[in-house]
Amino acid sequence: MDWINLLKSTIRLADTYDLTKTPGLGNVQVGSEDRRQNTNGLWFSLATKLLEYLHNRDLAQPMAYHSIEPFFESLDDSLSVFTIEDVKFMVNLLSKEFELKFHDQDISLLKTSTPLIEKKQYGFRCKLTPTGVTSISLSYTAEQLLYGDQIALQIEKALSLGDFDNYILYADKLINSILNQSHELIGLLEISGRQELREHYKSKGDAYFETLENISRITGHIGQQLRDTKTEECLATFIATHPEKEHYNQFLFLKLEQINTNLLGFRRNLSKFLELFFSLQQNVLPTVDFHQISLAIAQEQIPPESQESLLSLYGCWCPSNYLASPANDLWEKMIVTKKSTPKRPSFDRSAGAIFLTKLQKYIHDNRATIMEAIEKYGYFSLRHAIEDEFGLCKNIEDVTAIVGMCLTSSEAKELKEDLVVCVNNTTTQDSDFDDLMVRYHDLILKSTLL
Amino acid sequence: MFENSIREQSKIINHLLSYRVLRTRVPKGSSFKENEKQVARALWHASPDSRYYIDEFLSDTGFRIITAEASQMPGLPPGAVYFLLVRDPEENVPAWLDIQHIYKYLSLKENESKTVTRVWFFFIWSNMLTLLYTQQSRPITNVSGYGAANFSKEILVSQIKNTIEEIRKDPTKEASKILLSDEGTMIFRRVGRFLDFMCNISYLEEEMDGDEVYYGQTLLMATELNENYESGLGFRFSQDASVLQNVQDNLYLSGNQEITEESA
Repeated sequence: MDWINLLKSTIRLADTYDLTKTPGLGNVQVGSEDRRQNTNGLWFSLATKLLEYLHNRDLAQPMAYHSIEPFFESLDDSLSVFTIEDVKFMVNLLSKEFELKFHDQDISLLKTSTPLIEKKQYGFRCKLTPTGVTSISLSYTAEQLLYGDQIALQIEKALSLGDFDNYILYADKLINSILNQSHELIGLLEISGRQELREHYKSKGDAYFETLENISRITGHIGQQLRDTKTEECLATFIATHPEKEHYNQFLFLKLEQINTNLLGFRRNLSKFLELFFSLQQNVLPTVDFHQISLAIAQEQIPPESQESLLSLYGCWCPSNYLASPANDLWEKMIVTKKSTPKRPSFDRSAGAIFLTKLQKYIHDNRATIMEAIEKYGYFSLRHAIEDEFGLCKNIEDVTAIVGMCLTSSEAKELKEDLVVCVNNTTTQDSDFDDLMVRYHDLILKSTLL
Repeated sequence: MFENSIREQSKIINHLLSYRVLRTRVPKGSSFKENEKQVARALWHASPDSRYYIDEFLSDTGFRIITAEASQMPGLPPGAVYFLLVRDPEENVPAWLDIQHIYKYLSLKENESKTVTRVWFFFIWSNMLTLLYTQQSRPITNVSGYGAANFSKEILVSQIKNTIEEIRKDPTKEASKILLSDEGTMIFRRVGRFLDFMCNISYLEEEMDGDEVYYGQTLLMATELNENYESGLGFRFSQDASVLQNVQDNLYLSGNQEITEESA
């Protein structure tokens, strides 16, 4: 059980619970730590050991009340300062009811549900309360991946029951768990310290690999189950009842794929970590004093050639053949003087008015065809109108002019025209709008504007 | 899908040499470079033969590809794979790889000498790394720390000015004089160009935070610094020995580069 992680998050949350700051004051600085007394954590150790003891006793004899004397007898040397009275004090503390208030009305917490331990009416025989059991479960979370196969089984169970929402919930839980620990391993590979965590991965390396094997085996079953006709039918029924969840068709497979990909990543990180750990190689390089290097430059302690060599080695280079090509993006960005941004074509009002009249007439004459296209495709491309022999316009400049007009809403408003030509959104999404490389077949009429 | 054609392979190499990064997915709010998505997927699904060809080609020209997956490296979009092109210090520097052209971009005046530009460039570069590493006590190996490493233009300028104040105590060398001769506005302009350049080579990326613009370190920069550190600045960098000793002792000298050591 990893009580430290639970403590970290709990204390941080308790900090926010105890906060006396007035809302709306605007200050974002937190200031120095204001914890009552930074003790050595002895009482915390006593509390967690007591909870673990009661948990173990509860596994052997569920729901029974247990004597605290065997617990006191079993305390190791590091906790030898405590007397039996101290243990009784702890039982009293953890079994005392406190009132907690919450702003959120949905959270209702009875005063009676705050103790972690429940004791008999007289004496000090005690057991865990449901809140205490929750604390024990929460303390497992740091090692969650070691129990990842249990989560994988829950995913499999949810799928067999047709509970697709929980399938995704558990899948996300497993993915998060794998990712967090995979990234934690990366941290251990890159920086020194956290010796306890290193020892944890070292001692439980085999257990992790076994769990990974189990998860892979279960995900294999899940994959087969997903392709099963029975599951497909079940999913089809589910989607029929919840049409907004049609994407589950692909989503369920996607989640499974994510689990498998992340498992591979975790396995690679763990192997790399164990390999380094057992080979006793020092992988971590120290912090470099770059400030001293900058002073050394001023003192000419680094020769010019070395400077260039270092800059080149650390990425400050350009392929010269690219620079020679004016078509190259890098060239344009770096060497050529920055060009002014192409402006939107200015709109000639008189020409525009003629064009709009033509456009109105065209739409009036071809209303039925246009409406049919809009109903069918959701829009009508002006390409047909422009390419039409008797159509609207054969001059591409006129077309871009009208785009310029229509993209500026104020001008369109000024003209008081109901017609709005716009640029096909899917085309413009990928390009820079200011460059206005609009081709005439990108012009469309939106259905709502007709 | 990837058809193993020479044309496809050229596209991959071309993109990598231009931008140094190929991403199969990008974070929300970012956009792909032209054709990046297709090219990245082509590389991801490349047949072993094609991949071998690409790796061999790049290796002979002094580069190698490092792959980072979201499942192994924090900060990448879910399921994303990033291909990073880094210099391989074991190989010769290709003839067409050049930092000279960069001087044209970074010099403030038309007739500015190369020495002035180089001193300033290297000086700003080391000050930037002071912010990203030294001040955070961040080891070079801490690649995954790239996500938290950022600074603003003002912070970098302030760091540079503070270092210049230290230099002012002993302004005898030519390089010191160069650094002391620029006025505040010139420093601001130089830093602006430097940051533009760093963004162009995918070493930094702009982050908007309200009205503030910050420059965040990219995974590429963190990876390349770590990969080439031992061949460059050296792993024996310590406070006991002088900077010169460390830098010169550990600087990798590639086969086609003759470095003449100048006496300090």
